[in-house]
Amino acid sequence: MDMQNLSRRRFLLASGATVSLGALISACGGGSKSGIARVGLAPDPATLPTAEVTDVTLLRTATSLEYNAIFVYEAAKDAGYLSGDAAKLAARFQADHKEHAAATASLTEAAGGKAFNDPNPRLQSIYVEPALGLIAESDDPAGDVLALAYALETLAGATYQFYVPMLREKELRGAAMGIGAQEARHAATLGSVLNPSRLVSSHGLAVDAKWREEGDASLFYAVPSAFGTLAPVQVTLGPADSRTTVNLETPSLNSMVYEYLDGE
Amino acid sequence: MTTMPPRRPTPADIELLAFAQQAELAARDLFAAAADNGVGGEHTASVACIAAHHDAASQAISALIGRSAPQARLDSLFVASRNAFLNDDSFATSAWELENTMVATHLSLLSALDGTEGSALVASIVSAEARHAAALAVIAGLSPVSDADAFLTTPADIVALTPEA
Repeated sequence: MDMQNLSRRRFLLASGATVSLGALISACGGGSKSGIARVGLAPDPATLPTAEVTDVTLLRTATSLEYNAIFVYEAAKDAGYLSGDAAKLAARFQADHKEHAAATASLTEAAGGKAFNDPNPRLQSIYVEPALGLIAESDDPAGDVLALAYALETLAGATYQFYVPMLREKELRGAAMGIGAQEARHAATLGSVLNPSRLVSSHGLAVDAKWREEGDASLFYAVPSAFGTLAPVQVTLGPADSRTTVNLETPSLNSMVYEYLDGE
Repeated sequence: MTTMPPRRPTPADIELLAFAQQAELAARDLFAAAADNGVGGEHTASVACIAAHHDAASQAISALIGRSAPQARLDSLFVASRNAFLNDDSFATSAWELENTMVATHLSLLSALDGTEGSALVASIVSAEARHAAALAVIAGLSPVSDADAFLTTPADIVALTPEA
């Protein structure tokens, strides 16, 4: 008898616990998929698309960078910052960038992608627009435009260099670096104009003391190093009393022009 | 679906990179001889630094391919250009042609190499040697405005070196 009563009591207790637990789970569940209790309604988190870095992504990003350069030279021309030989040089470089953009757009389509024919939006907002704003306030806008051009051309060359081992089709590597080589030549030409007395830096080289430079390294050389580097490119711009250094970096994962972005 | 390229140089890559090292060593010796001879006018120090750049390139290739690196210059290239490099009148033009040839050679390698480490290294060498060509156009007395192509492009008659040459 006692055994029966005990069993019954235990059964009732167990039933009560089951009902209570069920009610709690039910209350918490509601319409929520996460199972976490909350007050009110919240939108489901967006699912980010898988952003694979393909040859097409790299080529579209390279094209976008060409349009950033085209934009800068156009802005400098419209503002009348450059004149004489500097203006002629800038016009030639801009024409080269238009050819590069057409070439990378064509390679994009040949690789089965859709060409992207606009400036890289992220680089435009974090580098180009702030730099042009500083130049607008500069005491030496012509000098600053050439400095920015040197930095941008160096960045463009570094970008192609950076992308070479990321390209899966090896035929594309030679084509891409052929363009990158011309960007490097643009930078070298500007370096020779900005620092004509010393074309090749000796910094970091094991050369005889008589070939070494005295003093600090310049920001500008036709040839600054033995290899093309992927380090950030620094450029200092703006009015004399508040010069600002901008660090330009090659377009990486957060500034590539993925195809899925076309719909946004 | 495109397969991922290999990281390390393949046996075929190693042959190409070994050839590139020989070309770099020939260029190093040519620029070093020119600097020792005092050519380049006010830019002799830059000529010496270009020699050091080619030496660095050869060492980097050696580090990548190890004991397969020949460690010997491409003597045919050295002999063909040596006299021009020792003469102040012919140095800059010959050196400019050599750098354009090196750029063309490395670009052709980039379309042939399978491994990504080799292609990354060669791309970084192209970046520097394309700049060398522009610097040598300055030393040759050319104008970046009226002679812009000499600074910015590889002439159409420049032929890439090949291991068979």
